[in-house]
Amino acid sequence: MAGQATHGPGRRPGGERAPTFLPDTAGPAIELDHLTKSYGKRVAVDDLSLTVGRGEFFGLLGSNGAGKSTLVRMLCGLTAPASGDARVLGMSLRTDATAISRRVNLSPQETAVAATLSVAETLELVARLYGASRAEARSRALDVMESLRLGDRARDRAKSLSGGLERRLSLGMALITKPDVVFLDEPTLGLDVRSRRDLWALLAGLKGTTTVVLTTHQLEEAESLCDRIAILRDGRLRGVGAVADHLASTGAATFEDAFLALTDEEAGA
Amino acid sequence: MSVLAFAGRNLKEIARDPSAFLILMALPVGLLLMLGTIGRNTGLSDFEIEALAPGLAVFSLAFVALFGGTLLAGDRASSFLTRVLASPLSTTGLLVAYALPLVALGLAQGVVCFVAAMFMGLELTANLLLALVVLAPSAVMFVGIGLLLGSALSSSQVGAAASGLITFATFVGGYWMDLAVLGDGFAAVARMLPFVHAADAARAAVTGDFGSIGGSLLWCAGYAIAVFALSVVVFRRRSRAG
Repeated sequence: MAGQATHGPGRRPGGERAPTFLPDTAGPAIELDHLTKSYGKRVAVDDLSLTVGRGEFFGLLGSNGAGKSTLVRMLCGLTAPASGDARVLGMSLRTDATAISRRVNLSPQETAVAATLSVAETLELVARLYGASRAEARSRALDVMESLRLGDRARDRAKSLSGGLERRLSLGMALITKPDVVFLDEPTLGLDVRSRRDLWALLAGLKGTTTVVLTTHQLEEAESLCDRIAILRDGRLRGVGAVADHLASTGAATFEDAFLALTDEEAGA
Repeated sequence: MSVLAFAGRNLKEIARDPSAFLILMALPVGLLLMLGTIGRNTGLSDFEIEALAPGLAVFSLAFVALFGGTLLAGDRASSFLTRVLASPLSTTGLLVAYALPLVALGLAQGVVCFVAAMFMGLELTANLLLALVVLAPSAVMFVGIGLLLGSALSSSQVGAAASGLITFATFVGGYWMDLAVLGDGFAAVARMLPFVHAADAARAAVTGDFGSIGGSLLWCAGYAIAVFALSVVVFRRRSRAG
């Protein structure tokens, strides 16, 4: 079909993305209320307001410097907003940051593993950082290694893993704490096509149970995985919705054309 | 629980570094042997084993500072610390988790120094146990300096700064020479710093001069608290700046 995006895991044959996230009866997972962050004179996130539903697979797209990483850092409590607020699982970023941190996790763009620890030790460490007992951490690590097919590398040092396995371990570190919200920053960066598809299949399995916020430069990845996508430019929201919504709002034939139209410098103000 | 978990990771990071044994354990023993030999050949009182061993045990803590600062700076440069900072572990808890294994290593270093010194004539008495207890505030102080350097500087800068610290402490710590040889001016400056007091406290413990321990320990404890508090402030500011 003309304008059909490339198929990825979970897409219906007709190309539509069926919403799989839970109805918003419990309140949104994330609610941004005029959130702003500046570094000196540079405004990294500019008066951002949007919501992410519980169990939704939500994409953040934008060029370099669009504010995606800054937004994720704020929502993870790594840096404070200059103004505005956000509510994560109903809790305020400004007053309940510690409580939020117990229920969210992230997988940074750099795989960020503990190089001298083994795969099992690394996973157990993360579980214990979030309050699991030694026994519980060991049990969860075994489960995660099994589900991510890392079991045969349990005793190997993390630094000895290939890029693809390191990405899986990084994902495991994000999921072992059973977060309600998980932030994935470029989870398939640098992977070959087979490893990327494998990881997509794993990520698709999170739909409906975990709220996922995915930042990526790969439009195909966002198209394939995300229920809705927010497109940022210069810290401002240029559009939010499903791929079909972006196509409709821009009149573009492909998502790439819609993305380019929404992030066009001249389309700015 | 999470503090202990992360402390365990930090201990493994250092223990699995091949250079750690050489620098933290073998080097102090080597220095003890060389300086002890100088003492025997020259008859200088500063090099007598009862003065040398505690001085060297304190001096060796500067290498623990080096390892601590390098570890923290290295973690800051990688996204691994980002993951830890996003966890419920507080900033203070995080730095305590770095400090705990480093202080333990510093005390282990003291044990190695004293055991090596016993082979060179240091008498085994209960005073050596007291000396280890007295080493603890000094260990916290040096570790705090290392963590402050690691919070403020990059990995490569920490190496240079720690080298400067080790060299500086060599002159103002009175570890194997009387401060009087520095002259009144430099000696007065040295007495405002914690290094010579740490050595004095350890020596007083070893020789049984118990009345002299308290005053020297106060200097070490005061600096330890101040340096550690400053490292928390600097680390928090640097990590929030993104």
